Amino acid sequence: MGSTQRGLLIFIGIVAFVSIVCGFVPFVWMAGTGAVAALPVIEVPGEKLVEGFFFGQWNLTNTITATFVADLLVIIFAVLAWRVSKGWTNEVPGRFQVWVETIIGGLYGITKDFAGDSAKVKNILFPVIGSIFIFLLAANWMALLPGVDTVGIKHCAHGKQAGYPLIGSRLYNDTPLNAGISVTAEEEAACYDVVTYGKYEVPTFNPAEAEMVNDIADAMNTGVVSFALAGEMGFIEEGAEVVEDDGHGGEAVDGVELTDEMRTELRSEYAELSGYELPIYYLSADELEGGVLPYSVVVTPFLRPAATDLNLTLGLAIFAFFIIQYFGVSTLGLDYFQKFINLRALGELDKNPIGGIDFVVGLFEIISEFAKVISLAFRLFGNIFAGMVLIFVMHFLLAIAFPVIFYGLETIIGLAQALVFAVLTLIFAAQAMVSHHHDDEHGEAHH
Amino acid sequence: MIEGLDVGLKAVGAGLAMVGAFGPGIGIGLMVQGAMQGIGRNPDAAGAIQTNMILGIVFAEAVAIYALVVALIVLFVL
Repeated sequence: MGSTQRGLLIFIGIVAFVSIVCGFVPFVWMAGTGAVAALPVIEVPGEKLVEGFFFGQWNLTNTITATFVADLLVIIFAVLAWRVSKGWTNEVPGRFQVWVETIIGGLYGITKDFAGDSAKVKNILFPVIGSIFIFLLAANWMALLPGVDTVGIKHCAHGKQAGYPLIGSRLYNDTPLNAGISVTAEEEAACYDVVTYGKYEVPTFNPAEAEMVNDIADAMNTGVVSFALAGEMGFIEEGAEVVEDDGHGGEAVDGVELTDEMRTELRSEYAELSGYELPIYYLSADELEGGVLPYSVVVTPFLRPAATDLNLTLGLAIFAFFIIQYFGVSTLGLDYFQKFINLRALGELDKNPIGGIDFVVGLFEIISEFAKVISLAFRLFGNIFAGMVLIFVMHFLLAIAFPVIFYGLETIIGLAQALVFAVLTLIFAAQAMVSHHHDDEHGEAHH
Repeated sequence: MIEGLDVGLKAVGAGLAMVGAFGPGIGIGLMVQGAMQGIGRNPDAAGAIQTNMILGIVFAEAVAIYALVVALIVLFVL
């Protein structure tokens, strides 16, 4: 057998695997069991877990819990490294110690390259840079663990959240690529009564009722009321518009076009039959008897990657900003602020009128200094949030096997963004320590 | 009003916001081009060139990320 034939066999194998795992399983087999990958709730602010958790004023969001877990991971890592190396005294390192020393040594090499190795850099800047890097690495890579962003509390959807019906303790969704329905305040209240407080009974229908429920569900889902149902509800006399199916659709649907008034009437009829007030999903009688709740329910995960919350990245960027200013002021003294308000250039205006430009440029430096905070914060937030949305959407489109590729991509992005945040802080601090005045004098000496 | 118009317009707005990724794409391409030429001419300097290239890429990429953040805000916040 030549290599071409072997290649053909492997290719056929791959195609078969992909079509079964990415086509048959998520769209046919899983849909039959009522479990299709659902689009999770995508919200920019951290999702509330416990309202008023901190002193009754601030909410506990899932990004805060993720921050704590990331902190815990870093602390465990540090304690383990300390124990394994016997308090940094172990002369012959084991495997774990070599690994830690490689990371720390690499970081220290970068720090030395950019900022030199003065005592201040060694004792303050390097630990700060190292902490930022390791914390962000833990926080970003946590998103790749199973259970993060998936396991959480189920509750009624509110506002623009798009939820799915609930069965037992899992969401019920039998339509692939269903993005969910969002709800109004009254619908949410009705849902709370049923889902949170359990005020419901699973309905049982006699055959006539079951047929009625199925007809209403069909009408609400397709937008066409069958003639039988329209006659029963008395819609035909009102001169409704008749839809005649031209046979191009899958099922032949002949009937009356659904109007808003009919919608309201059918909804109250459906609510009366099923016992669920203000239903959002119109399920068949079998599904209702099976215990599916026709409301919009979402899951708020316990953990969501910490850097997908702008509060964390902005806080970290403001911290980095103060570190940068500290290094500028402690190295150059009050002279550091000449970079922004260049009094020297203003004073030497008679000798060097063009130096006035330096003063104006200095004012722009103020803006660019604050732009650093925004740029650091949004770069990290944007990358990690986009990564989260990417993984969600890929799971939504093809639930099995395919998203693995994007986990590989996210591993690289998580590492790169942690490194970029740390190295940019380092570079800005190193820049702040360099005196511009000194360079000018040096240049003048050459002339 | 047409049903679903607001959602559609949001999607169009998010798409338009991502036009901001156009410039950074060109910029990153030019930067890598320069770096590759530099490495080709002087392979010994590859390490230093790579470090600075990645830094430059990060700054250019920031602009694309701003566009992305605007797109995400249009889609999920507004």
